[in-house]
Amino acid sequence: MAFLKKSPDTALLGEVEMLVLLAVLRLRDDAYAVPIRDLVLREAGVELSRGTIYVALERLERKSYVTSYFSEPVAVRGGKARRIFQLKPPGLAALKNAKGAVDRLADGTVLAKVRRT
Amino acid sequence: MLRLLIPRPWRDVVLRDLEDEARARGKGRMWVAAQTIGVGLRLQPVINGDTFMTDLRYVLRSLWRAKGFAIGAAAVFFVGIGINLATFSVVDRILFRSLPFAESERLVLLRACNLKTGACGGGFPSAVLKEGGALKTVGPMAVVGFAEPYRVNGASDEVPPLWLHQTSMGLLSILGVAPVVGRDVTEEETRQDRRVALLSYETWQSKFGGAQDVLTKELRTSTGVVPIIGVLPRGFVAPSWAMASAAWDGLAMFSSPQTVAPVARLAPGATTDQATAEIGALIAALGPRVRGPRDRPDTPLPFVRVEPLEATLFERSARQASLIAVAAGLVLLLACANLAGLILARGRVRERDMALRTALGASRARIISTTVMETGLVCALGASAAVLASLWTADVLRTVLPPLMARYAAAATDSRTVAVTLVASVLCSLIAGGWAGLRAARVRPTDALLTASGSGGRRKLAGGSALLAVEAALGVVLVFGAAGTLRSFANLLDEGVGLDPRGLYTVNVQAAPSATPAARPSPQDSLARYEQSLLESVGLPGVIAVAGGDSIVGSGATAMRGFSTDRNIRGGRFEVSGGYFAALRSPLLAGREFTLDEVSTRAPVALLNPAALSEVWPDLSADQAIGRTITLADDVPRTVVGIVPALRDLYGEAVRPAMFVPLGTQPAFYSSWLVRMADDSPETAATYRQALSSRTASRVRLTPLVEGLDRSLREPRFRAMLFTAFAVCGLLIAGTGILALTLFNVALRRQEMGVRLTLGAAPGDLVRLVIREALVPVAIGTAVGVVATYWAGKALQTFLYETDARDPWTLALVVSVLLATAVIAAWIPARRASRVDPAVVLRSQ
Repeated sequence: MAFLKKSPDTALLGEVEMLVLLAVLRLRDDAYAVPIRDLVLREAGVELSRGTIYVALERLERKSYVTSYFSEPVAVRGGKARRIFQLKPPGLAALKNAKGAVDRLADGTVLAKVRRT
Repeated sequence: MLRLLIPRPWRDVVLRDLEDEARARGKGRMWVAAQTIGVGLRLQPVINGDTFMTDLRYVLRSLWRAKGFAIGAAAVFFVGIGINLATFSVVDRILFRSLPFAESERLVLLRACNLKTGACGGGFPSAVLKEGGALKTVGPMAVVGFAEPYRVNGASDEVPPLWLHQTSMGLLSILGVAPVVGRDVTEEETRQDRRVALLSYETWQSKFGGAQDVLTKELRTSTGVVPIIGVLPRGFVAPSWAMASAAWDGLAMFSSPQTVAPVARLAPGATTDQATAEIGALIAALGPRVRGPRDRPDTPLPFVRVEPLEATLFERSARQASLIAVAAGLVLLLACANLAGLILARGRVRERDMALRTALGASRARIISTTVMETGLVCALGASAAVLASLWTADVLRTVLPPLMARYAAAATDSRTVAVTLVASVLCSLIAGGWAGLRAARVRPTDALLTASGSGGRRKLAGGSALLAVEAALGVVLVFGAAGTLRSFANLLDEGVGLDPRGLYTVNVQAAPSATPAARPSPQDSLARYEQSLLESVGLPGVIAVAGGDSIVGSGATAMRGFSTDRNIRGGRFEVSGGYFAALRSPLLAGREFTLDEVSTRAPVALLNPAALSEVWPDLSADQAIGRTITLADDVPRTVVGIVPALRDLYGEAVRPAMFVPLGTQPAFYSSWLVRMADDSPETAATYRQALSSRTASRVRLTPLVEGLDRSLREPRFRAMLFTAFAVCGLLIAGTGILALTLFNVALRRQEMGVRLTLGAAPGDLVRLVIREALVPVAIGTAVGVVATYWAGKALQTFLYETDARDPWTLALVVSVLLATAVIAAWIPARRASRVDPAVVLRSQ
């Protein structure tokens, strides 16, 4: 079954994974589950459940697309450390790959002109 | 606790995020709890998917290594779940499902009640049936009457007849049921009142091989030839108590079947109370026309009660089914407790293994889930075996079930039955495995590892005593149920029906069917032929005595007529020939039977049963009543010439006042009589049948009286058998539980036993010690069980005949049986303990 195996470079991202990766890329040092979910909702108009976000982050971390670390405790009363996610080079490559694939396929169609709605 | 739902690597992060979010958005604890569940359920399979497979492999390997344990535990569960599977398949339709008719909640049963006595049932006023079309709250009515024998036209008389229930022609359209083959009654057939037959699906399959040409066949009965026009859907049951009779092959439809409680459909939105009120108004408007032809002018008008069909039909069966379901549930609970004990003991054996896993980082949840998984696999094995076994035993089960239950029992492969078995197995795994797992996870790794290496003492199995007590309590309740039902059954048999049914047959002589009503014999001709046939029977080979009557006792038929005295004392009136009671082998309590003269002249004489005597002349003894004259409201005064013993139509039936008069005082259509043969062998009966058949040139059918009587024993016998089976299984499970846990405790304490023997204890002391220790929790459980039987007795009492459900002697016997079982179960390991060789044990330590 070797022909079914996908290398991280060639594997395409799932829709949720792509949205979460893009949100991690945008949020930089503030990329933890709550703002990721809010950003996806605000920018993409997609309401993902909290469980879906955590599952996507777990899978992305297993694929080595993201890494995580614990932040300093938040400077509010009772504030605790958060698990912050960062994009790793394979994650960025996968995003580029996915976007390139979409752009190439859309080239020459009405979708090519669609940049922002 | 909910936080445990979230896998450990994510637990703190998720909870922190949720708390932050809740604070920021002003959400409460409920919101956090709901989100925790949602996130936990999504993350679990992703994080622990691998863990699950690893644990499953581990559990499978360990069970494979302990095959004896796995098979033993599965066998215990098999017994418990098997009983419940069979029980559920029987009671499901009665307790939990609605009738298989369209909008069955709108179907109602109309019962005629006597306002004076409050008794309901019996004949329904035909005028109400006729005029019922004008009612607004109730639609058309249809009657489901009793079964009649029909033979396939052209088939030999040796082939058993088909039993078709007489029903009105509109029954299927009221029920919203369409035949699967053929058609319903047409308007033309209804207009012309042409009798038609519809076969049950089961009869079509078993007796006609499911052939499509069944619609070309015809049936014959005493009134003529009847075409088969259709086949009813699979599992169809006509809504009537008459369906409780053993034989049922389909429906015979015609316009005027016997008027018993009719079925109807309520108008949308109408209630039973509104319908009862409207029918009451109709009866008041109809006035005397509602009365029967035999009713006196001062007989009060009947009262028709409209009742929901389902609840009324299953009233008694539902109570019985609930009782059976509870008893079966107790057996399952017992099996679960036993399983928990076995898993607990196994956990103790593998304590070191578990401790090692905990020391290496396994969480408590994982230890518990492994135990639950192990229990679940054992349960799955037992449940699968139970489903397979039920496939093979379904037919056997149906033969012992009371008819109504047998008819409504679902197939073992029914998806609901399998689903319930699955749910019960999962629940049992969670309860038994979870409890044992919790105890196993409580052990501290250091303690377990030190104990295993010999530094610590071996203690008794914690929790084992509690399980023994539970098993004993459940055992007492089950054995108590069995003892009560068995005693009740024995009482029924002891009391009997007042006659000796062995060698007694009812004889039915049927002339060739007449093509037209005009050619049918008149009642007078029928009577003459009947009397002639009766006389011809005397002297035939094998015949000891012959007697005739209009209603044959023991055949399930009730008195065709009634009597009423001038003081309005009422009872059944039977017309009998001379020598009737001698033929039944029921000697008279006083006086004599009718002479041939009295019978032939239809003399004004009578015989009374003790119930009638005590009502008519409460102060007179049987001897004093002989020669007295009884004044009747609708008959000539009659001289009492004898007092007959109390005869019952069926086992356990109450004896009502009955008067016997010489046969044929009022000619009617008689068709059967009783014959006592020299023995009850089929050969003697066949010889007589052939001889009589050739003499009378008619078809002759002989039915052993035992058959009809036996039908009335079917339900109490079933109850006694079922509860005995439950009790035997319960005792077996409780006994093995006590045996296994005591064996295990003895094995744990071998060292202690060795020391005791070394210090001078006699082997007998050790036997007593082990038995005493096992008996203490059993005795506590038994005491709890005895208290529980106080309530159980109340529920059981309804189904017992002449038996006190809370009889102290029965209870004492039950307690003795359970304690004896416990002593035997504990004695085996106790003997083993007493045979320990101190030198060997101490050296091994």
